[in-house]
Amino acid sequence: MAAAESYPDDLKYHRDHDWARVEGDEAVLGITWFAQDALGELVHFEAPTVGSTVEKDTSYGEVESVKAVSDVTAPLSGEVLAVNQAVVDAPETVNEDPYRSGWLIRVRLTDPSEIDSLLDVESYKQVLAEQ
Amino acid sequence: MEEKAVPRQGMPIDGGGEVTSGTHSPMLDVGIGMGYVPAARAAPGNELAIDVRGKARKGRIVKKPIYKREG
Repeated sequence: MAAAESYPDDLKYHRDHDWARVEGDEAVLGITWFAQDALGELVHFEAPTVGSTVEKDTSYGEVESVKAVSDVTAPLSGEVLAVNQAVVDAPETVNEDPYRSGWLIRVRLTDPSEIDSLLDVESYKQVLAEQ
Repeated sequence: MEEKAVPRQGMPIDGGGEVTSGTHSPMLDVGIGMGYVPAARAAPGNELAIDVRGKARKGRIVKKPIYKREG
């Protein structure tokens, strides 16, 4: 079941349709409802390895749907602490629940000041309105 | 595919050849596709590596049809 469109206001957003849930010096990353809707049903998540580093504004993995493949952009820099194995095993989890059970990776932030450059929900909705 | 990956048109096959078409099979829940390989390597059961955006992913040659409905 596809999720209904939503953009939680407790998340920070990147204009490439990625979100971050900051928890202290860690953050959980994923893709937004808009991203999963544009891709369609996901069939593969090419995840980074735990212990590797991701760099803000660069790709840390790929999400592939039946019709397309897309890089996933890191909204923040950090070290990968965990990969959501549930999504690796069943990528459609992202379509069903992009913000909770469909998270992609957890990172330890290397530069928390980067958070200031991310969009709040209103700014992200503005980005969507311009699409 | 023996690994989690979706072969797509144009991807090179290690040892020569390329994928001519490919997608994800919802019935088999794996990537499937068709492609050219050198005749000497084209026997069913043979394993081969497909270059999926720079990463070698293992596949296996199967007889057509790739999927056959049971019953």
